[in-house]
Amino acid sequence: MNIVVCIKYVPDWEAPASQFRIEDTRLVPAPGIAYRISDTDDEAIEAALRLKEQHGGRVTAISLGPAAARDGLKHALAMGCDQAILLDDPAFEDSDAAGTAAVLAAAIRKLGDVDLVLTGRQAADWDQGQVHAGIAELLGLPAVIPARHIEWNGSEFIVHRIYEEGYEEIAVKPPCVVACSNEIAEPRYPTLRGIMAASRAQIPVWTAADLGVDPGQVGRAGRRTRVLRLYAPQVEAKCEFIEGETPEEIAAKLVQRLREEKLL
Amino acid sequence: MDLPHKESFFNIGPERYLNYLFALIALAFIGYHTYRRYRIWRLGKPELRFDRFPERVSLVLRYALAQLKMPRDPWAAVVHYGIFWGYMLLFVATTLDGTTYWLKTLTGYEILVGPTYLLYKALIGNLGGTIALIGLLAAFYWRLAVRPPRLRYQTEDWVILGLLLFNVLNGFEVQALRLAMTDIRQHPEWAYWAYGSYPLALLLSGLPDSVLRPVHWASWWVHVLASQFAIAFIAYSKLEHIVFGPLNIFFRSLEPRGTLKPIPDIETAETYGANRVPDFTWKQLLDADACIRCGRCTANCPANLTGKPLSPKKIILDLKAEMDRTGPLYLRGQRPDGPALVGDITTDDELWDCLTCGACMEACPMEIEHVPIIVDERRYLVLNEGRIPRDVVTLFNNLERAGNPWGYPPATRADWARGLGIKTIAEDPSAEYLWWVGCAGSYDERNIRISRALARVLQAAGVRFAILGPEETCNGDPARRAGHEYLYQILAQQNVETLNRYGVRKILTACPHCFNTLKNEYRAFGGFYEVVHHSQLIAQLIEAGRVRLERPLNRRLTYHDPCYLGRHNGVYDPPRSALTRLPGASLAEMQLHRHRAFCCGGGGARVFMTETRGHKRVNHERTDHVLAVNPNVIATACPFCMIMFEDALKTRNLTDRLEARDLAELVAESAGLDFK
Repeated sequence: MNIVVCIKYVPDWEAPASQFRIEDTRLVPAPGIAYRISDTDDEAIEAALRLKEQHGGRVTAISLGPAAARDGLKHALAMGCDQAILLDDPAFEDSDAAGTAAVLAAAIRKLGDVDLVLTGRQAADWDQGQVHAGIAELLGLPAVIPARHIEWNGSEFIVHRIYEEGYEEIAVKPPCVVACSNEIAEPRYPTLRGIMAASRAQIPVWTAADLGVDPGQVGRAGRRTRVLRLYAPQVEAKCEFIEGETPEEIAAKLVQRLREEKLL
Repeated sequence: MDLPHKESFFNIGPERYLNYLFALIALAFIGYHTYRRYRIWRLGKPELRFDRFPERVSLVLRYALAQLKMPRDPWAAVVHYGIFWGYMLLFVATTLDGTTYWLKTLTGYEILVGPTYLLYKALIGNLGGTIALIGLLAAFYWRLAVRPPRLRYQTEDWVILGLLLFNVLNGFEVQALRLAMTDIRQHPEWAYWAYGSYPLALLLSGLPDSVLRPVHWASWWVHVLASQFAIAFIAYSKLEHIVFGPLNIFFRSLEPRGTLKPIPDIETAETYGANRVPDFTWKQLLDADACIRCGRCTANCPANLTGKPLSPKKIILDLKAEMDRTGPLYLRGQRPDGPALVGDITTDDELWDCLTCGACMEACPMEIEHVPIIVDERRYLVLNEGRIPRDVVTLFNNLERAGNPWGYPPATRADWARGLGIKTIAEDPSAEYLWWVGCAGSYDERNIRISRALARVLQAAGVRFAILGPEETCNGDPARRAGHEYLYQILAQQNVETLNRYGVRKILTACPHCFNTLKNEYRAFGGFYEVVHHSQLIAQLIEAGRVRLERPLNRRLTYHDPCYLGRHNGVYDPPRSALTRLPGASLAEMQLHRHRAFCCGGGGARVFMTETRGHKRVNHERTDHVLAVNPNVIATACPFCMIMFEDALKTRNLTDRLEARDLAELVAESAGLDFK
């Protein structure tokens, strides 16, 4: 079973707001901020490794640059992925979701013979949750989004797709795309043997030319969406006590206030 | 010549020389057994334990010969001193007896004669027998009536006691038989010097020689055979501690107790930590053979006493069983399979329960080093197997990403110091002390109050200090003690580099974990500093009159010894000296204090782990010890102890009658300093 996991390497999303600066429509993290594999992408790696451990096969981690993503890929190798490929080209810079999906889809096509593409349900930096669907669309594959469980029964993947109050069980034939939610598997901590092997591993870089991607269709040039304005919302909380002699009176006053605020 | 003397080998013919053959055979058993175990120890990794010879000899004299740990348990003292010194005297008596015989035979010169002989008989032979008898009878009473739970009660234990008792009684009997035929009749004034056998000799003296002679002959041979059997039995029972105990004590680590060794060449090592026999060092394998199974380690283990699966004794005996099972296979060049030591025999839970408090090592009369063994097994779990509890993974991730255990942003590390006018070392490179604040002192709300109090005390006393600010990261103690040696080494190298870049020589810290690591463990990474704990500096400042304690506190205190300050580094007196000088404060000691202090539950990275096993939480148990002396304040000097006590006081609703305060806070308060 050949599995490809798409990961994104992002600034620590748990860092406080003071660690980020807004420059026009761009978010600039403070120098020295820690980068991590995006939330749920590491769960996707874990899910892939467990499938491999049970059924054999090969797990490939891919990430669309920048070069710092190499560290994220090293972590994926340390966890137990068999190979990692960095997709890096100046032409890829500033891709939107569609552009990112196009690059990743091209890489998956180049890898060929892929049974399963795993991604996180949405990246921790922008929370858009579109790339997995984009990959599926471009490759013409079925997609299950988002999944809390996956197993292989010999001919199909059995995937539990999260519902508002539960899940639905879907049998899907390979190849397919599955976007993982955090319930799918607790990511393992790499062993030192893994870390050492990863530190020695070579991570090939595939450029737009390697992938046969038209630079005009991806990156800044190929953006189909544009951020109009980026700002930190000012959250204001006001607290007001409603007073009165009896509970009935307080309730009546509360209703009146809520109507005034057009909340009722 | 009719001076008091005895006829050697009385009533024993030329067959007497067989005695030496049996002795040789018995000694050969011990020699062969030691050689076999030696070959197994040699399977272990190298470790330097041959340095500082005089100190090692002194250790053997104090802990093997004088057995200075024995009096901690009065019953054990009576039993062990009795048997040990009794048999030592008997051994000396036999040796003197033999020497006399051979000297006389070869040179005609007799040493045991006259008053010397009588004193020898009274003060060596009979005294030895009597003392041994007292020890043995006490042993039977102790085991049968007192029944301490820490002991095991297996056949072997009874066989040994029975054998030793038999030999003492049999010895008296042989002597009595001889006296009945000789001294009692010819020189009754010599006879009572052998007071141990004298009464029996009197009774027997009425019997005719035709009875006494053959009985004496038979008893003498029984005595020889039973004694040599007991000596040979050393090789096949816990009595092997007679050989391995002093060896193990001789090779004890001379480093401060809490110091761990780095994994050498971690970048190129094949396996990490210890699971199989060759993964341990030879000294750790010797540790396992030196175990006498007395159970003192487990009886003093805070995890075990609160019902957790960890038993330090089992950890050691598991290793010994592994050596017995797989050692011979390795020696034959085979690779054993079967159950893994770590995981199957010693469970993960047992290893994760350890607080690395060192109570086991402190209690062990054989100076076994349990904690480094446990940490090596944790290293195996973490680095080799990746079997790590969730909380510990979070800890590692936070240390990697943020350089502190909670994942607070590194940039905000010095925010606690706002408004105090504290300089960084970059701003004041010639400050006398670099204050290593530590993660808890920098980020934990409760411990920030302590940092602020300490800052005020230092400023009031005119101490010139500076901090690293955001350049400081975790010293690595939690990573190291949780088994992540690689992460520890990265942090240690980074910190040593930072400290050396600023040319730091003197470091002050309020955290005993930072203290231990910076002082004892950074040396291996090229960091040599004079490290002072704040309790030491504060005590000095008070002594020198640089801090004036004016306001009476009017509170009853007890002091909780942090393991990494007290037991691991021997700092017991400075905090007490500071506390007893606080006006209006009285200090009551808990039953378990100083080297016997009971861990707060936070050591060995446990402060970052949820306590799920056992019938009681360790910090609740320690709080009970506190309540027993009824203070209003638990004074301590460690941020982790503080976190554990605050937690215990809150979860047990004790906050209105008892508070946990750091020494620095109490001093600042008494000095009238505002530090809120």
